[in-house]
Amino acid sequence: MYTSSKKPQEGTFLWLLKIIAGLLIIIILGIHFYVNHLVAPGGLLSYSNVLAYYQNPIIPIMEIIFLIFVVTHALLGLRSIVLDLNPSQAVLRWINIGFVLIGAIAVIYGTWLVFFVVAKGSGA
Amino acid sequence: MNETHWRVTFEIFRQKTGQPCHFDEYVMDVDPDEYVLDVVERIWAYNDRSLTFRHACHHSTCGACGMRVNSVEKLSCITPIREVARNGGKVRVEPLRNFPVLSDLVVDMGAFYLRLDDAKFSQVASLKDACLPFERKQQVREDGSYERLVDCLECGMCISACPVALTTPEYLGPGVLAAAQHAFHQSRDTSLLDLVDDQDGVWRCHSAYECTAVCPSNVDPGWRIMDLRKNILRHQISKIFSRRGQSR
Ligand code: HEM
Ligand code: SF4
Ligand code: FES
Repeated sequence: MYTSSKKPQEGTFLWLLKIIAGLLIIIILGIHFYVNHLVAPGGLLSYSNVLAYYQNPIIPIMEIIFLIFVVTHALLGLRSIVLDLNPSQAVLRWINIGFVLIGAIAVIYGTWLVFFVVAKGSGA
Repeated sequence: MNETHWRVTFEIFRQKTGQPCHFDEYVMDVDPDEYVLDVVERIWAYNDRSLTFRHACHHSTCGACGMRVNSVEKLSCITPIREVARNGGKVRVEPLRNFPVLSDLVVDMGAFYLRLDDAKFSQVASLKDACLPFERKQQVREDGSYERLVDCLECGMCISACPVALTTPEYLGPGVLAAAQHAFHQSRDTSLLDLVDDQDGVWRCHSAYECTAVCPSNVDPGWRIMDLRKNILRHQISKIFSRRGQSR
């Protein structure tokens, strides 16, 4: 046996998550474009249009889900690239913590922003 | 100079173990329809007997003559000068990347061959299994009585072209993963899935498909790596359900 030491830092689960997140990005991005440009009459051209658009509860939920999957996908993708730098186990542990923190902050901030826009009301 | 007589400068990578590398230039009169290996041999025969390189068959069967010609992996025995140079131009010849250089154009393929053994690489397969599963099968006999050599020549060019292999010698590499996929396709031996289910196995690949682009023998290692991922996933899901079934 030439190759021995097993390294489990990358595997089926993370890959599947990345692929599923990528697929959901395509689907949600499609819906996002369709709704923004084709369903909203004349498109969402002004700030008050956007505020009114966010009053439909499906929209903030969809945008938050979109954010979670984009962040997950992008950070998992970046992590696979970082693995090419062959970090040691100890460094990789810190990198993992860093990615989780960045992801959590991005999702929390984005979600807060969505609620902030929703709370502004219809903008009338 | 005319259509059958070109003058081409060959820049050949030179390095003897432990010494710094450099390029030697040889101005050669060639027929553009000759192959790169023919000229490398002529340089060895008439210009510099200390030049080392590998070859055997001269007809794209042994896989020994893989080199980087103008930075692209080629079987030099079937690469015509016309394809890689023009009259008065230059051809740069280097050893394969991602293998230790032993001497000039000769690299150490030992680790690659040992890993092929780990991947249960089989040199022959029944006609039904010898080619890619989505290819049109020819001359297949139901009883599997006809066999042929599998496509992979063990030339190592896929490993040389792979950008991920460049980042770590630990990566099993496209040729080895392709061999494991082929062996798994033939035997359904799940220990092969365990071998490649690793950060330095199938999960390391970034789908650059450079391996598939340079493979001289239609092995399509890129496709085979993705097929292994699918089979690992399938195997893990079926393990979950069989465990459930047993515990009931
Ligand atoms: C249209 C939506 C998208 C799809 C379908 C998609 C799909 C994929 C797929 C299939 C992979 C390869 C996974 C693998 O083989 O291991 C991947 C990797 C990656 N994706 Fe995406 N992606 C999308 C959007 C994005 C976005 C928006 C970003 C960044 C913000 C991103 C960043 C990355 C990165 C950094 C990688 C890793 C590349 C690598 O492993 O070499 N992707 N993506
Ligand atoms: S898969 Fe193709 S490029 Fe790789 S060793 Fe086999 S024949 Fe050569
Ligand atoms: S010399 Fe055998 S493949 Fe080129």
